[in-house]
Amino acid sequence: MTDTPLLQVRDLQKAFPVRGGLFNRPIATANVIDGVSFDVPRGQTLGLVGESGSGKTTIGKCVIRLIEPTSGQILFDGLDLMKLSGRELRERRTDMQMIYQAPGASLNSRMTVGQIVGEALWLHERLNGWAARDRVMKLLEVVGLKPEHYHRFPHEFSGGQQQRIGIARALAVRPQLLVLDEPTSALDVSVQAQVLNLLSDLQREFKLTFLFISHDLGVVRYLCDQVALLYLGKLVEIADVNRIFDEPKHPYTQALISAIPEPDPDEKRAIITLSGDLSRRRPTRGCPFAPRCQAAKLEICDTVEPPLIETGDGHRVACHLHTGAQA
Amino acid sequence: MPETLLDIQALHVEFKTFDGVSKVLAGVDLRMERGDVLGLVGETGCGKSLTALAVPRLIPTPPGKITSGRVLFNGEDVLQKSPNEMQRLRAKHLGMIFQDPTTNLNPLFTIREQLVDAVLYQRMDAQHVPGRWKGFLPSARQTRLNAARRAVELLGLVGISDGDKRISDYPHQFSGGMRQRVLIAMALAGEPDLLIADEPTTALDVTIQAQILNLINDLVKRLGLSVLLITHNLGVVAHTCTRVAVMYAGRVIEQAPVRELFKNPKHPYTRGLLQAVPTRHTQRGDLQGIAGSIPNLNTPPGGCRFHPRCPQVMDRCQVAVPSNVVVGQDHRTECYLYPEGA
Amino acid sequence: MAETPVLVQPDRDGSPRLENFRRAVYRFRTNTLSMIGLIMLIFIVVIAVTAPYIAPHPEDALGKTRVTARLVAPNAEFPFGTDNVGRDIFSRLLLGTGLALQVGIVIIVLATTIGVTIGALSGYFGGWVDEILMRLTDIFLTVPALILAIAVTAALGKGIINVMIGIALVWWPGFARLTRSLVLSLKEEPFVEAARGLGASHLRVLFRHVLPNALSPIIVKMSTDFGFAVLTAAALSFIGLGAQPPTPEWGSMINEGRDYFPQQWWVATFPGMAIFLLVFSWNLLGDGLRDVLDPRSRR
Repeated sequence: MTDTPLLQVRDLQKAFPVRGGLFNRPIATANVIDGVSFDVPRGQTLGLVGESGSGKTTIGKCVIRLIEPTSGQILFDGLDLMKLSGRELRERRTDMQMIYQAPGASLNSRMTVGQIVGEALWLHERLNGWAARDRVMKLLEVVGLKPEHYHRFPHEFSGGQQQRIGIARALAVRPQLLVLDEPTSALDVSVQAQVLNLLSDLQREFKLTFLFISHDLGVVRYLCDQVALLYLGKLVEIADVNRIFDEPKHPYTQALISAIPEPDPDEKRAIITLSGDLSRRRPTRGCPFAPRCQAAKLEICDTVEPPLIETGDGHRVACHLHTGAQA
Repeated sequence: MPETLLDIQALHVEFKTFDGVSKVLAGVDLRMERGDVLGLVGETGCGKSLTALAVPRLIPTPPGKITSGRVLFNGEDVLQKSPNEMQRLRAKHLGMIFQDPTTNLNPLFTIREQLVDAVLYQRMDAQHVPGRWKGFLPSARQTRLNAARRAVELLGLVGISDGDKRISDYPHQFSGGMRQRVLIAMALAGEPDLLIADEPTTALDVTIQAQILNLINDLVKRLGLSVLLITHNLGVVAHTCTRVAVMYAGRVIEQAPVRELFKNPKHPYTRGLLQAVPTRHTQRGDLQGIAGSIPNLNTPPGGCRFHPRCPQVMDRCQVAVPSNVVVGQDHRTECYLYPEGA
Repeated sequence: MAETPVLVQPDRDGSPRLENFRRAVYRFRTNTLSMIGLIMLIFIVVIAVTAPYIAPHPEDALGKTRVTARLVAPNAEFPFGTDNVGRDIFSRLLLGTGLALQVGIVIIVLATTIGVTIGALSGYFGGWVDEILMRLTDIFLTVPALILAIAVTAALGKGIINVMIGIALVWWPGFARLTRSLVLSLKEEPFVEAARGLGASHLRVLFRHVLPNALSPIIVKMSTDFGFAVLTAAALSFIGLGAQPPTPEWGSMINEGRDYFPQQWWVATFPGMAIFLLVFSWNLLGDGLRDVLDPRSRR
């Protein structure tokens, strides 16, 4: 195997038409993802962090082409996914799977667990009957479910178990990449820990590569190797997990990290409180984060959009404070 | 001598379902002093929201039913009150905010209309007019004007400084965090003794969560408000509350001042819960969940309801429910690991 | 894979499907009105099946007349009286039950097939497919259904078969619209996206994942519409387009009784009552099904 990253995303763009006026014609476009590039090395986990509306789920779905990106390149194992036809893409689906946030809603309530997990086997290997049943049973065991769950319906399970069913379904095609869209945010903490550990074990056992989408920095710190922070569809900082948490460079990253409520009453850190909300109307010029930025503002912040630049050791940040711009 | 604001004693609640009767609350004991910010912590289905709903008597009946117990609020048992008295109590003495700030505002009315209504409900008994007819009386206009002035004041109180402008906006023009502020303003309309906040920040982003928690802390200081904060997030509790009560499967299994609980957790469930949250010190692979899942409350396990998942289970745990023991300064738990009277 | 055979455990006592069915029955039974509807309907079906054996004068449905006993008021021999040619109304009603049920079933099955297909394709594929199919549906909806049914039937020619076809052809737009809206919301569900992500084809996604989840509201609509379909068919027969004499069709029986109302009230009233009971029982049943068939309220 080569050392090229399993997944390389280059300048990904996704624009949704804004409709309006008479006859509801498209009158403008809204860039939900604006030139995002990152790599995920084989067997590693990239955490994609951002608040709601930052476009993190859209990126996850674009990467495996469940949503069509407007432009950009997605290289999977060197193969450009954007160039695949519908049929070719369907065949490549065995390489990449997604785990969803709402475990219940991601399972067809009219199918039994056996049917749900077995469907992939039928689609890609034309496996059914006893052969499929054996494989499904093994998958259930791998994710920590019991054989007697085979005939049950999703609604008979708890949230954590439903998420395990979703994981078993994804593993059925023996994927290399899993896009995990907030897989534990709907779960209770005691169950969240179980699922996180399961994912961690599976990654080691099956040499999986994870794109882990989350808003929970605590979980990201626990599971990820690299972290990318998104603000309004743009990457603002990307680095190793330790660098992000030990020396965050972007003011937004600093604020996010300070706002994690640590379960320790003695840890009275200064929470950097950002004013305002993640506004959907980004400024037309300058840094998108400038209106909420708590750091000393430079004049340039309101006029020029900072590029994402490398500051050493693969740490990249998009902030004028680190581009050497002077006030 | 601190004054007891809320005292829930041996509260039992049952729900009727197809599978039989679900004993959702099985003897909840909970006590709050005036000025407390009590965090009620637990996982899905442990009955924390239901416990809070019992105070304003909003448990849906049927299928729910309070089978026994007392809920003393300001020394009076709310379970004995008439529907009219309850309505007055809810309007004047209790404020409630919920998880989803979107669905709790009516999208068809402006913030002004909704806030003014909240202010007027709270004043209903001030005038000797049957409530229903008041809106049609000549004095209504003046009353509404006063109420509108009060509404702007309330918005200022929750940190919306340009309230006089924003008040004529519709809910969809507000962001999630701002909507939650509006709901807090509504809850404060009656100058309540107790604010019940049911997962108030769960639907919000972390930066917004920090804002809202700061606001609640601030209101506690300025208004001397007491807060019952229901949450599953131990981090939120650590930063906001003065006391914590941990619930599991319909019982309060441990309660203590916040620092004591985090530094010195006694019940195996509390310990498990604290270990399950990743902190800055957690190494990969260190995180421990609690094995198994929450019990089916139609056929709850005998004895201590936690025993099937408990790492330190003993024979007696399966037989009888452990009684409440004092294990430290203002620290009580229900577990056989700790001898009574110690 | 599968080096170690995994022990397949026998199903629990009662499979999950059976368990679901039990829950459904339980919830249906708690709804008194729908139970009444179901019992009435079972009663009606029993009558339809046994009519030739229990009707006191079965030959009256085949054209036998009794000139000596015209327009006899209800009595012991003719419980519902006789009509203008002396036929026993009670026997004719019993023998017409089967036809009324058949008419309803054929119309509803035809309309559902057309409507669900069009609605599903329209909702799932969207775009120009949706535009074309929905404009077609709109055209059918702009003309009053009864008038259109009359026109279609008149064009096809008189007869109960043509009535059924005519009504089915104007009945499907309701199903198309319902199905389309269901499919539109279902196709955004994560489980549908997950199926696409697994590599399932569009047809598989539509028929295996989307439509089964849309079934409940469609079945409910089928059962409530059943009564109205029978009613419409009766209306067409009433104006003489439907079943031709001497077929004991309820609508045409009312028509025959029209001239003798209100003096010989029984000629028109009893067929009317029969139609009313049939429509009513289907509506009650439909309400009950609505409660039962929603998978999300199973707990």
